[in-house]
Amino acid sequence: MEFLHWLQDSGLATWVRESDALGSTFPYTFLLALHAIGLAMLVGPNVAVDLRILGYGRSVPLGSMEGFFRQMWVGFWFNALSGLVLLPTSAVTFLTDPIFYVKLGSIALAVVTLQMIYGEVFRGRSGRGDTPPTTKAKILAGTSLVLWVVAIVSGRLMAYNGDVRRSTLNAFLLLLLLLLVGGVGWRAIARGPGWGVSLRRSM
Amino acid sequence: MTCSHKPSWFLAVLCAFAAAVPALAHHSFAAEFDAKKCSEITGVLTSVDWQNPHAYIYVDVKSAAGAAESVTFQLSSISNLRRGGMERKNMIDNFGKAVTVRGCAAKNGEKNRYAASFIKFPDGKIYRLGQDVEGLFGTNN
Repeated sequence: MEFLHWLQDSGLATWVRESDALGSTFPYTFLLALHAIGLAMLVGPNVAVDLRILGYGRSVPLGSMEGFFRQMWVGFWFNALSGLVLLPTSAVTFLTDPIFYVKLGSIALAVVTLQMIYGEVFRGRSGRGDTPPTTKAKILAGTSLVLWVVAIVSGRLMAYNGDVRRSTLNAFLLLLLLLLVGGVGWRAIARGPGWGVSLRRSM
Repeated sequence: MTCSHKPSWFLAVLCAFAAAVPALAHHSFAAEFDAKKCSEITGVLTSVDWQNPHAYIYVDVKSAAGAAESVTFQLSSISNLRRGGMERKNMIDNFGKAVTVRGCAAKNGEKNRYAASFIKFPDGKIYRLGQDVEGLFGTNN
């Protein structure tokens, strides 16, 4: 605990937290912006790859999605580095909050899963993603989706306490349930050529 | 040719609008502080932590027994305070002086911890320090 206070009172953490030079809190706000953009750069394409592996958007060649991996790694490092600098600014609050450990743990597992997906789909027996995804790939993709949902929701919940945290979590669980039911239902009903093709044909 | 471009153009515009929605990243006042337990606290301003995401000020208040207790007030972010005309310098200029703060008590039972909404300095000037949950110095009550 003393270490957490020491960390929080350190020069770098204090400078970021109190940054107000020339009437601008730029260091703090820039780090937060970087953290949000990095998140989008990593999770967005990752989710797209996962969904494609699970069979959504079949018109996209799975192999072509390999091109997104470099961007995903850039996003990851944006967040790792900005997070490393942001963490000490409220070290005591963050490192005594269980939700924070849920967030970091799920991110770590999600990134490991991403590496495993890369090996299985783009470098493994499947070759450059040209053959249909294996069952192992699909399980990895499903796991990745769950882990990212946990990571993002827990990141969101960190801003809240008590009752608001609980009710926010409930709201997310309800929404996810609806999306799952809706997604599965849609797939079962609409087994056509896909909405993009249908839309183009109708014009 | 033009038709096949239409869906992606439409999507791009839609996404641009979606991205323009302001990020509602702030946490809830109601989770930490009780808007029904607001009061005016007068004491001597001793110190400040002028920082993000929340600034704090510390006021020594004389308890009934006569001893001075340090009361903690949570304020908005530095930029939000600036919007209300409040700067770190304003606080520092009033160190050691008697100030009156309108604040709402913490919910978790923690003593001497409030979310500040307004402050009145000895020269009579009033500044907004945080979320206005009950009007200027409780005038909405």
